[in-house]
Amino acid sequence: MKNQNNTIKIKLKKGWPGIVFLLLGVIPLLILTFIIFILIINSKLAVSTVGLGSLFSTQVSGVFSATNQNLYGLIPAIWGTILLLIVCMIIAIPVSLAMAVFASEFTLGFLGKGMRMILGILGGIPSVIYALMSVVFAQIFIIPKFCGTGIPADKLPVPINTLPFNTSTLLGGIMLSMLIIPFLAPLYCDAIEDVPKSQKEASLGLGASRWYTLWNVTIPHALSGITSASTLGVLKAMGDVVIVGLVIGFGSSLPNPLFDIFKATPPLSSAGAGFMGGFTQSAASPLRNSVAYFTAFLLLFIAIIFLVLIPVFQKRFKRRFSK
Amino acid sequence: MISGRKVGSDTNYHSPPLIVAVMSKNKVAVKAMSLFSLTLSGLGLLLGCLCLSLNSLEAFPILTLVLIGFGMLMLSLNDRHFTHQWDGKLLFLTILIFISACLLSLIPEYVYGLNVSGIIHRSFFSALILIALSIPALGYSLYYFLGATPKARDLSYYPLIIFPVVLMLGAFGILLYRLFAGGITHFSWHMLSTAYNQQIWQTEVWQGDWPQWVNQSIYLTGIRNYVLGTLLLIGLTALISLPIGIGVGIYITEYSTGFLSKLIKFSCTALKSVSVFILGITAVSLVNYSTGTPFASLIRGYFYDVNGQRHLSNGSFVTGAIIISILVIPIIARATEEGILSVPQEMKEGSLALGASQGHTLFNVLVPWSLPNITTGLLLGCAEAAGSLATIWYLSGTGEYGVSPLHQSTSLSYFIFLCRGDTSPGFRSVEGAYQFAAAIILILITVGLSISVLILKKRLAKRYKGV
Repeated sequence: MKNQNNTIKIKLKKGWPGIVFLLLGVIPLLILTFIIFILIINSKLAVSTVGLGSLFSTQVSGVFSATNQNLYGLIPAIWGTILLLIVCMIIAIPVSLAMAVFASEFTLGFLGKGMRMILGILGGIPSVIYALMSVVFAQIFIIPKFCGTGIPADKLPVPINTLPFNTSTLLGGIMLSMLIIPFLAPLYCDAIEDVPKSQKEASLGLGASRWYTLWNVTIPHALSGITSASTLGVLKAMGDVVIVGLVIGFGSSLPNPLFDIFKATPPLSSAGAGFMGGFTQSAASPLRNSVAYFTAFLLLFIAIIFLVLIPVFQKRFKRRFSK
Repeated sequence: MISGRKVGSDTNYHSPPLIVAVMSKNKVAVKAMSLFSLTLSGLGLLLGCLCLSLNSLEAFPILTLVLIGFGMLMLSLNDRHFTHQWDGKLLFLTILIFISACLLSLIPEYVYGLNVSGIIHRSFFSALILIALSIPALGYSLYYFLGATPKARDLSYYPLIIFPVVLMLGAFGILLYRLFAGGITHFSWHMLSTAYNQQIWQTEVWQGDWPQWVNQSIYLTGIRNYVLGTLLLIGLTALISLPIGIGVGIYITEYSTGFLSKLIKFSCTALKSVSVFILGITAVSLVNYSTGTPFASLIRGYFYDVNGQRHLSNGSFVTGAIIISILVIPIIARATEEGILSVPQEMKEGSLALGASQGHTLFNVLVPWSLPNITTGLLLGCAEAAGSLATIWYLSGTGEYGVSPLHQSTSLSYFIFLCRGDTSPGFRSVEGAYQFAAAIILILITVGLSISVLILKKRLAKRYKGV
């Protein structure tokens, strides 16, 4: 009996780090479960009162109006997300790829090496700074190009209050891409540097030029890393709410020609924040808060689907290029 | 025959146009020609960038395009003179340049239609066309300038890579320049040393024959409480997330058992990449659930108003730090994981072979080795905590009742958010002047943290190479 007690004591003495680390280790899992649980519980009211069919429709009663309480269509917000991601990624992906290639393959001496450091420093700038400084880009790019500054006010072909002065999907996408590029470029850099050196050297040794090697050997090999990095970038762009909320706004409605990027079409995250009250902290009606929780659940669902798909794609790419 | 060519290569030889015949006699002339088109297309690229923001450069784009087109035409004729066949891509580029110059002259000054809510100025199209066509033109003229060797072909792709980098760095440069130019003038000791506060007192005012007590308020303007709040938030976040992050990192590398470790890794990735809005909204429900429980004043925070009454606020610094550490834990866990995986296998096995237990090895070999990695992760997490806004969006307040763990949370980023987007103009009119200065302080904090991370990483690499 005493002996048995002793072995338990010894086991405890030797094994306590395992127990402690198990308890600490499951914390992220518990947090994720807790978040999913809270989102589901709180979005119950929206699903039961408004109904899924009404939630996935284009019918919206203006976010800040109290009339027609039951019209909370999320399709405009989903379309806004797609539009914003297209604008943002068209800018961000080529520029980040160019930056990564400049930092790792086509270096110009110390300039290329300093590139990674610059990216590291730029990556530290918080998103609220971009939201604050969006006015600068509105001044130097949006207003002179897209607002018809040379036309007298009474001869404008478009009503002046619809012109994209300080809020538009385009401006939001540009500011968002400035947040995404310092995040994406180091990931691309890692993906390019992970390509085995033997492959590159074999190509160069056979007489191929550096550009040919980059385009036909390095990038196809790094494609799985580049794809997963781009997916993370898309998730980061989709999840940001500060820039989007301050530049594009909270109220959502479908733009009339669907591709109209000069109109402000808020994406899911800022539409959800709008349902939660937008700038003000005062709680809106419980139903609207519940719709906000439903939006958050939708965002989480999309993110988890993306994250599950990344390894699947990576496996496929690896199988394709290992042969 | 006269020029000394071989007979065989002369069979389908057509005499070149006059200008090429004159210029391509010697190499210097070819160089001068390609230098001419190099300069022109460089100027075209610069003009395209300028056209992105200026409207007044109406006449230049078409002229520049036509000149670049002539440069390309000369290059392609010269190329044909040497190789006896047309370079298809170069010819296509030349034709494209002339066609787009013609199209550009047809576009009216303002373009609108299709019910799109925007009026596009012509110079936007000219900027796009100039940039898109100048880059290949620059590449071709670089290729011929460097002697048309295979190495020159490699070098001729540099404009394609460098241009986006320079454009983006220029954009960042403009942004930071405007930020510093706007904020540096507002810096003062008064701003840094005063906390934002609204002071109310009662004064006696004579109305007619009777004295009346009237509330008078004065705003003390400054950002001391926001700076202190940011530092407090960073400290509390580090305190909460450091032990948990290290524990998670150690568990998934040392004590993991297959499926559970994969699940934990997945949840770490998910927590890092889900929308911050989800975390903010979770915090709101946490605050709502705590109402009425003994934890209410811990989670919600409290303050005393003018009359000395105790009120609960929306969320304390502790809650803010807990929510932010959900973002920071994955960062520290990842750094710890990397550090432990980089320990040489011999060191670990040596310690175990000498009879040390797994716990002893962990605390005396693995953790000290990965300490620099953990510090890196911690610093990155601190930068995240300083800049994070959406997580504490619904919890924070103006912070006028003081900064301590149980008061309402506030930070520099929330201050900027209030100045930029507050719908009530009261706060903005009082404190709005300081928003750029606050942004500069915020940038100095976060960028300082990321620079120290870079320095640390360099020393880390040195150490791994040295040992």
